[in-house]
Amino acid sequence: MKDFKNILKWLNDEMTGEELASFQETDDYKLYKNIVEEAKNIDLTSINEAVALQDFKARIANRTKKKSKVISFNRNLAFKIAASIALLVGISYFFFDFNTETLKTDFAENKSFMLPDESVVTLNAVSEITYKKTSFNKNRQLKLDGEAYFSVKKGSVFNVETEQGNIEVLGTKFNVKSRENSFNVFCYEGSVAVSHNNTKVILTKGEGVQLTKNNTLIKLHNPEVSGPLWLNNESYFTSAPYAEVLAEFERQFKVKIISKTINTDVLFTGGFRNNDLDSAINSITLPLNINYRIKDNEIILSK
Amino acid sequence: MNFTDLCDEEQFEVFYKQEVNHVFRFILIKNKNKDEAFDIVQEAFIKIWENCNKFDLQKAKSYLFSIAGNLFLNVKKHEKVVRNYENNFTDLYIDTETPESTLRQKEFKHKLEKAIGNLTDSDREVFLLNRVEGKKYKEIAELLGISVKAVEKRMSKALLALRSQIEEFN
Repeated sequence: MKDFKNILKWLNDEMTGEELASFQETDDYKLYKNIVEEAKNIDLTSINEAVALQDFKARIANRTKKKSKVISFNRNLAFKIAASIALLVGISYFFFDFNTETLKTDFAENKSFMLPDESVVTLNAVSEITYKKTSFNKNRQLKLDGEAYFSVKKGSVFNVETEQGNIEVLGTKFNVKSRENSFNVFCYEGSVAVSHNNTKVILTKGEGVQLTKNNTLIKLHNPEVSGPLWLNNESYFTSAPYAEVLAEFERQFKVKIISKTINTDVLFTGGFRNNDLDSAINSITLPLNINYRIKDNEIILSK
Repeated sequence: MNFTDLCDEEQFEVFYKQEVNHVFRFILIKNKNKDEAFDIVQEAFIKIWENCNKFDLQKAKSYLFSIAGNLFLNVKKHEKVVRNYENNFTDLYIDTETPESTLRQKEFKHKLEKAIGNLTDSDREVFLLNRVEGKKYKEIAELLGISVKAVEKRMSKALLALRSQIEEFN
């Protein structure tokens, strides 16, 4: 230990093969080997990257102070450019609907966006929202096709229209899933009004509604959850028709599921991770005793 | 195109996912409070994002660590946590535990963890950055803003202290 040089060299991976071989014969090596090797296994906490990223995006969106950038350039030129742009916009207005903003996600992705009023919306895979850019701040209204989690800034009424029903809130956090064969809304904070056909249901924190097969809304309770699981890359279902589970699976993994020979009306409670196909397919088939075969982008299910 | 444009959201996400655990542990090594460390990490990433057009990837990496390090100092100084966003996530943290094969290994590891806990803050930091994070002395020196010589000195001190505490076990 009078001479730490070699030990330091060893721990910095600076030794050649030969040097290392002869160093391994020394007492110093034997003394420190255990300490050095076991130290690698020290249990340190790590972070779930996806969850952290979600939180990061929300923080970014929450930043109200925006930097105003000072741009100085030739006024005359600026005027000319502005005039031509105005003209162009004027003309193209007849051809394109510039005012409608569309935000969407593809298979196997989810994304967060900030709306003009600083509310944040996170879209699950294959989902889309549209709204009018210019009037949004005055009239907070948007259309949703798919599944989204909203964190709404307090203010005037915020309206979400879907094929199956409308949702009205003031400032709150809630999830809406509006898919071909499912419609459900869950409130995580504040309160939410859901209208479907001629009924209107008020939800508060920890409450939700789900549309059943015979077209009525049933209430759900779960006071413990703080946000939808898909934000953490998990899909979870409570007494959902199996067809709905399979449809979500297709969206999360961009695969086609062939389910002709099985009954997809059965109800399923459980979930899967959105980032691991092998374990996910097991999670949804094993509990129901279903066999599967993977062929390229197709998964064939059988009893 | 291979050039990473940090202002591009997707590329920033890749950068984020690659680095988040490294910075987190870098701060966690200095301080045991997970929430505080996490806040610092997020704050540092926000700074990088806001200035994304100012650096290339290599620079962004080292800025990230130095911003985080500085935030840590500042939080320490004022003894207040930067908490401008409530995080409600339940499964943010992953506590990994490496399975031990024998009881003796388990005991040894326990003993080692205790010994590491007894090191001075600055020695422990250097030791863990090298052993757990696999960083070279030069990288550690850059991260901490000290000389390589100083890193080697702290490393030697840490090793000696650990050895004397572990000795009776072997």
